[in-house]
Amino acid sequence: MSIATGGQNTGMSSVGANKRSSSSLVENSIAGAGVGLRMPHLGELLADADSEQPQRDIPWLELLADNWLAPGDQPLGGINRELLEAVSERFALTLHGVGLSLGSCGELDMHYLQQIKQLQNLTGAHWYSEHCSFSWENQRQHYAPDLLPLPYTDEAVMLLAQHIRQVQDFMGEPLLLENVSSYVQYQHSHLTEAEFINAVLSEADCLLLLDINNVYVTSFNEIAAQLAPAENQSSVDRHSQSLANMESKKSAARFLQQMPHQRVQEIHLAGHEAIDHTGHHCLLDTHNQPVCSDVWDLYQGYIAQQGPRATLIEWDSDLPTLAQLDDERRTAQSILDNSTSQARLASVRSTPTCSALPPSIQTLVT
Amino acid sequence: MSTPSLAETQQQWFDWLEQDQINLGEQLTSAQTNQPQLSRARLNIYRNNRFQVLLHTLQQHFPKILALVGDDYFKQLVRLYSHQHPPGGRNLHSYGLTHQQDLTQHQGLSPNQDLNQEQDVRQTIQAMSFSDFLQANPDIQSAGLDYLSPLADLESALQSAYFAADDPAWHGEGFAQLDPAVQMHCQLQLSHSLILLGSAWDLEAIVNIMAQQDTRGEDTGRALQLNRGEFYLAVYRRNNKPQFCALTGHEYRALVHLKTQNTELADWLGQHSCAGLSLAEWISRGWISHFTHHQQDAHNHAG
Repeated sequence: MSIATGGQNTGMSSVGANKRSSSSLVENSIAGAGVGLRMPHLGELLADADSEQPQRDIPWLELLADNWLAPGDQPLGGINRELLEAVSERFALTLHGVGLSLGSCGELDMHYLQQIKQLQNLTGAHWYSEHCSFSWENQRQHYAPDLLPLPYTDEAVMLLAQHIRQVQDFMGEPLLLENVSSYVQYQHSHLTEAEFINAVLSEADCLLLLDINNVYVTSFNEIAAQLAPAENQSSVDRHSQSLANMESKKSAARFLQQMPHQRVQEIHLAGHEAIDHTGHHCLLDTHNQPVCSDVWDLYQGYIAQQGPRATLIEWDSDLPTLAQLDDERRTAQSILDNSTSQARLASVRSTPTCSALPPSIQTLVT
Repeated sequence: MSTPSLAETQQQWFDWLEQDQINLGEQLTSAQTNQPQLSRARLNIYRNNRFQVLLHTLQQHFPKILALVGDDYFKQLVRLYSHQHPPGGRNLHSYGLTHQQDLTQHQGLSPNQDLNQEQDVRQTIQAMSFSDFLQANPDIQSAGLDYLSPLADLESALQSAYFAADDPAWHGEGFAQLDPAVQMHCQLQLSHSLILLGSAWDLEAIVNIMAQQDTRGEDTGRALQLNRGEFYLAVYRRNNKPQFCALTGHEYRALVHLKTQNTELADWLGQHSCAGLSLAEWISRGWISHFTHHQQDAHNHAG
């Protein structure tokens, strides 16, 4: 594969110009709907970007940072470095991490963070996001390759906020914190998840990566647990199942309403998988399917109310073709575009000269 | 029950994930239900997630071991290995791999002090490589599959070569322009990606047999019974692809000497006279990445 320099540059701007240190969104930054970069798509993406008539107009890509870190202390080398340089020259990028473990007790892994910073310097990534979870045990001897849920307590708020402030000081820019999906609840949580996230964002003065699929999955799993059949009952009845679907959508919508919208910099969308454990219905955050209709509805409603946000389609396993992935992305992009055009129309409608508009426009805005 | 601290909660999670303490997990969390069966099912999602990620990682790192033992047995091995040796670092690119220095030490070389110290540090991070785990597994040894461990070393080396840092470009003209006497005081440096392996098994033959026939471990083992002896390999990266080739014992020892000791070219050639014949080829393969010499000494010699 040729990785010659040049070709299409989709407008990656100077990162330094976008930095801020308060609670406002990162301005003059990337926008529109992007996709998570996965290796099997990389060759096609680069070839398309270098072609005379590119078929894709993907405005930005998200790198899963941990996939691009070399083992040990050595710098990234070989094909990974060449590919990273090639993709950085052609696309606007963001970094998304899974390994920092912001919610673990004890010290942050500054060596890891240093590697992330080097990766950001190498790629010019616009921002770095991490999860509201933990993956290390306290002594940092054992690591779980998963996003384990935190209890929603004041102690966890303070720890997370302290770690996020430390990250922001080190990186010199705001961190985007992502809500995770959950399958269990802690008995000793005394805050709701929405209260918890609001408290952390406020205490840490950071931004939010709002994963709407995670919101939906967590809502469904909470409600499905409440509606679960008794242990001596063989399976959940159809009525309870459809009730869970309906209630989880309402619950997710209520959760979205409670988010601090001025801090929502980015939105994640993904697919999930339904499983049935001996009659116990559950949604798994698998990222192996198209975005479901309920999540699209929630996204559309959120964008209509709060305005466009940089949006990413995540697809990690059972990967589709790039064309299929791009179809999903285009659906998100069209929702963003409609929102923008409706906002323009709303702006026009609010002006006192509305009655002077041509009849065709008057029809649209009334 | 008193409310656990965050630190206690997190420790309990790992005890549960890694030590099968199911009751502990149930005390820790509730799925907003009083049904233990549901709680167990929900918690097991996390345990299953963890296992699937580690299984996938080791499948990627050891595809030949997987092909030889089959999916089911490989899964059993990984279940046991990940239980006994959970990942000690967040970078799963190195999970289960044999460390490069250990690959050299496996060949019976006496390690120097620095290597020992480095190994102590590593042991706090990860107790045992997948190769050592296979070596210590009585079922594998009693089944006559004792070639699996060195094969895992080869796969570790290929993975490490893939991720190795880039080398500076060999400055051949600069070396050629040096006075021959100065050249003899240079120290040759090996590529970051070059890993040297020695084995009692003909690993190259095993890989070739696997490429030629759809075979299982037992057949491969039988096919290779006559091929035991002393075998040496160089694993390296070329054109971004990890690969390997056979070495003679002389070549192997000469390269190990370069890798582990800072020796001037004259002394090195004095101890490994036959290596001089291979030097041009090694440079063309990118095994020799650069040379160093002390300018002052060079000038003295040139004068």
